[in-house]
Amino acid sequence: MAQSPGIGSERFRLGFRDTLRILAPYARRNFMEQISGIWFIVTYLLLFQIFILKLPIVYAVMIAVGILIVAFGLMFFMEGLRLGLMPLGEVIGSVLPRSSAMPVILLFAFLLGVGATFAEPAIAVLKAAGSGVQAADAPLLYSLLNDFSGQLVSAVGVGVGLAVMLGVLRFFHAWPLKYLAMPAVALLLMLSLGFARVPVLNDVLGLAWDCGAVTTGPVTVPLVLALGIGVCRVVSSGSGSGGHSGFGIVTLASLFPILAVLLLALFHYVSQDYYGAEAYAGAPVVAAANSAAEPVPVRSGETQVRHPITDTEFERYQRTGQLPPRHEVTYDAGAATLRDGRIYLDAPALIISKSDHRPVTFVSAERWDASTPLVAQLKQACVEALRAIVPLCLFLYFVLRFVLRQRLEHGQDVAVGVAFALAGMALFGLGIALGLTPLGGQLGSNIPLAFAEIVPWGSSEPEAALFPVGEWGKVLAVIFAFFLGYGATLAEPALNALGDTVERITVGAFRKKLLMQSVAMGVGLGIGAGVIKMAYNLPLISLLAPAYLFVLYLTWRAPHSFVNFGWDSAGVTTGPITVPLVLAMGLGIGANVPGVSDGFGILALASVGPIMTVLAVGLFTQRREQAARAAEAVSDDSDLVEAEVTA
Amino acid sequence: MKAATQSYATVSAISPTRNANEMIDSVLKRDGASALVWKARGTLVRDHWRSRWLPAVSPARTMVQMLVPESSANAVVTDLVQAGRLDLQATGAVFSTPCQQLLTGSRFRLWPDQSSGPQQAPDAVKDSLQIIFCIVAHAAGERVSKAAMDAGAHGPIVYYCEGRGLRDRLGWLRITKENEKEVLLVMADTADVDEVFSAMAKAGQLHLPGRGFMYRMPVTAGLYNLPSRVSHHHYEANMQQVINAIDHLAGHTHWRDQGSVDLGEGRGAGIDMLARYGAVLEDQRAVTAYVSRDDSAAVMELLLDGGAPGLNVHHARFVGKQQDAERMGALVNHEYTVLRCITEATVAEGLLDTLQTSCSERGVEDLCVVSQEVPKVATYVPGTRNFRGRAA
Repeated sequence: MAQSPGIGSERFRLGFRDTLRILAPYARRNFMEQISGIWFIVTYLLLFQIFILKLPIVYAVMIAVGILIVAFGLMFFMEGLRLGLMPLGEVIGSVLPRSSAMPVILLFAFLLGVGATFAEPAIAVLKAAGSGVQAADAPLLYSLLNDFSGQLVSAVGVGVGLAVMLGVLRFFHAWPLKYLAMPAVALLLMLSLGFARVPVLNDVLGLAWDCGAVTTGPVTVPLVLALGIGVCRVVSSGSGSGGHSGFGIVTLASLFPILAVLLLALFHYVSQDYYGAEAYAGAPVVAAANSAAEPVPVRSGETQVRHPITDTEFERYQRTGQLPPRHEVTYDAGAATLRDGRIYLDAPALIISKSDHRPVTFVSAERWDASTPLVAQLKQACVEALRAIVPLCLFLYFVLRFVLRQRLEHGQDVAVGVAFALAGMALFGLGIALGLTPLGGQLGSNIPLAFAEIVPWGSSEPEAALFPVGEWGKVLAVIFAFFLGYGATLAEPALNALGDTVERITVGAFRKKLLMQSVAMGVGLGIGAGVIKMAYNLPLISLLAPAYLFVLYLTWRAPHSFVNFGWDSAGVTTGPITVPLVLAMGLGIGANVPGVSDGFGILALASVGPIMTVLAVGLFTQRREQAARAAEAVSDDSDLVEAEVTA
Repeated sequence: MKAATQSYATVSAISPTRNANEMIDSVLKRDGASALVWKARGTLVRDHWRSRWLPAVSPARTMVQMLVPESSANAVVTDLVQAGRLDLQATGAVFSTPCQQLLTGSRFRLWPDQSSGPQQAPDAVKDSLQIIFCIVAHAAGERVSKAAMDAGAHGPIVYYCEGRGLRDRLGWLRITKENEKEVLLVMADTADVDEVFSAMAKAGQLHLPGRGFMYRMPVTAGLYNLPSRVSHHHYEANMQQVINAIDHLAGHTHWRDQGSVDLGEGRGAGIDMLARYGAVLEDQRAVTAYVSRDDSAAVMELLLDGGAPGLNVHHARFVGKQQDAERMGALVNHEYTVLRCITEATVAEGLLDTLQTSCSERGVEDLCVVSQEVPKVATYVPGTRNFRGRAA
């Protein structure tokens, strides 16, 4: 490509005001787009906490600031994807097949997959989910998370690498995604059913299936999508109903790590070197106390007074006859006897106690968590952003420049885009730490209040359950979980990028809104199912297996393009917004249900849901198209008649 | 670059993706034939309340375009109509527009002249059509489509293009440009076209700055059978069954032609609203460059520096007989970039001259430039309306 000095040698000279006039609508448009993505989840969480759980918002100001930062961060990040990362991926994807041999392409794809895994490590998330795991309860799981965590990440990395490789190979041969995904899922299901029969291996299932959901992050997904689109632009698959849309890598990248982790677990099971087994090398660990799983102080509501009247209040009462505000009077009648047809109460007692009604406050007195190390968090967010973006971009640029020997056409734009993505990612991380994590953490740990007595987040006194008896509390928790999943998914940056790409690739035939809504519904359903699983301590496989069997059926029936979108969106859904919210909730619920020690499995269920809903939408539209085609078949007949008439 | 010795026409066809391959095959049977292929979509406006929340999936379409010697244009159109079965209801459209001038680089594969096949197009193909191209932002696309359909046109065919030119001259501020615009294609009878044109111009508010651009071209041979409005999901099938029943009874499909009264000179029975419409330019030229994608940046630069006010750009896949290189069992595409600008006749001449001299100097040989007549344009024109001062 000839180096171009830039289009339009005559540049417009713009003053400061004109610059602002151009920038302001641009910034406003992008900012409002992000606001429209996150308003639902934020409003929903706030309203739920205040009006349904009737608890005040703790650290309200900090959360507000954090959410504003999230919106700004997303704005920059999405623009960065559009300007920088996706063009970079697409250019490489389109140049690679023309100028390299197959082994080079496959090696590149493998390295990209491995690199992406290490850039956005899911291990932190998985460790958080497994923070309540006790070595004695689930030895193999404990060992995988602690002793073999390096191997775990490597296994996931290799899985993703192989997946990207196979995904690219698939484009060349135009294999339909159906025929890759269906056997893979069948294999995974069979392995999982086998695992479920062995207690030690059974513990690992949740971890393995969650790995698949977690691996693909907001940087990897757009990059890999763009790469696929670039490859498919150049490689034509003839009539190709299968490969040539550019999707599908994400799907494989969320299936293969599951397999990798299952195999890793099997290996350690066979070689018996996990915690407590014969060949265990690590030091036996004393079970560490866990904050999330800390037992809730159990009080018997009968004997203990929740809000005792203090001595000073009593003294004041004796002095002035003034009772504390909001009190209630009950009387204890003692023994009642029936004499001469009348009930006699001997020695009745009037009891004055403070009433249980809390004052409804919207915002707690604690506006800002002073213990939050702002600088340290900013630093951490920056480091994470750098780690997620810079090595991958450098790798891509290096490949483009020195392996493919190509110049970047819009080099400056791409550089601006990468800078935007970096700034956006850093801001986004900071905003999540300040705003969404405290908000989601509060709600997540407060939601068991629906069915159990807990100490609310940031408070010191326990509160009574909203529905102390019966199943209504759990139903409420499930409904909450549905909308939590729905709202968080709409805000997910990777899914937004996927939606934009789908709309662009189908020339607007498949709207982003349709994809987002159906995926969000699916995630909501999945997370709801996950809460049911935790609240009743069901085995994961009993929910996963039927769900995936149904998905297999839908996949077999659905049109190819929907198979691509549906499966890809499954891998995308669990990102930086959903995961903290869902994990907080999962751990909160798990801590209040006896026998549940880890938060695994919810994310796995959250990625089955969208496959189901998107494929269902696909089947629905296909039915309509078939109706239209049937009508066309009638016109074929008329054509024949016409031919006969003219003949 | 050299000018073509005989006259050429561009033939474009739109069909559902599953019919497109047959159409392409029918074209490629000819010697030296080639075509450009890109993706488009149809328009489906459903009047359900729920479609606002869960939008309908529009039908995918494929667009095929080729530069054909005018002598065989009718034959190609006939082939396309037969292969794509375009005379059936709700299948697609085909149209050919004449070129005024054509320049080709030495490496561009132009169709050779071959006056084979029927000179007469089938009866269903009309010579009294016009094609409207309307380029607007995504947000306005739906509104303009609706307006066109309300004015009696079919559901527009839409493809994406990139608007280049203005914001590229802003330095680093060029990041503010929206990536893609929608190109809406609407065909209408010459007698009806003014009404559709002005309805679309109004709906898109094209007299305001930055809203979009619309122009139309005469069609020498064209046919469209595109669905328009679907109000209920049973409606589509039922309406087609009714139409087919009438076809049976009548024994032909001529009755489907809309009965517009042609009053001569392209005026139909109806009110010409465009006469009162301000921002309209007449007698312009469309300059279209088909360039190998690798060289597109250089040509874009030449066009913009040569005085093109702005370009709309999209990419297309090249299909030819032995043109696709086989690699590792898969075909490797050759991509072309289509750059088009609409400008005054004098500027268009200048652009052609610039390209003719400069392209060879820069070693850009795989390109073809076409200029076509554009009788009417609607866009914001500085100094005519809603503008504070007259442009210098």
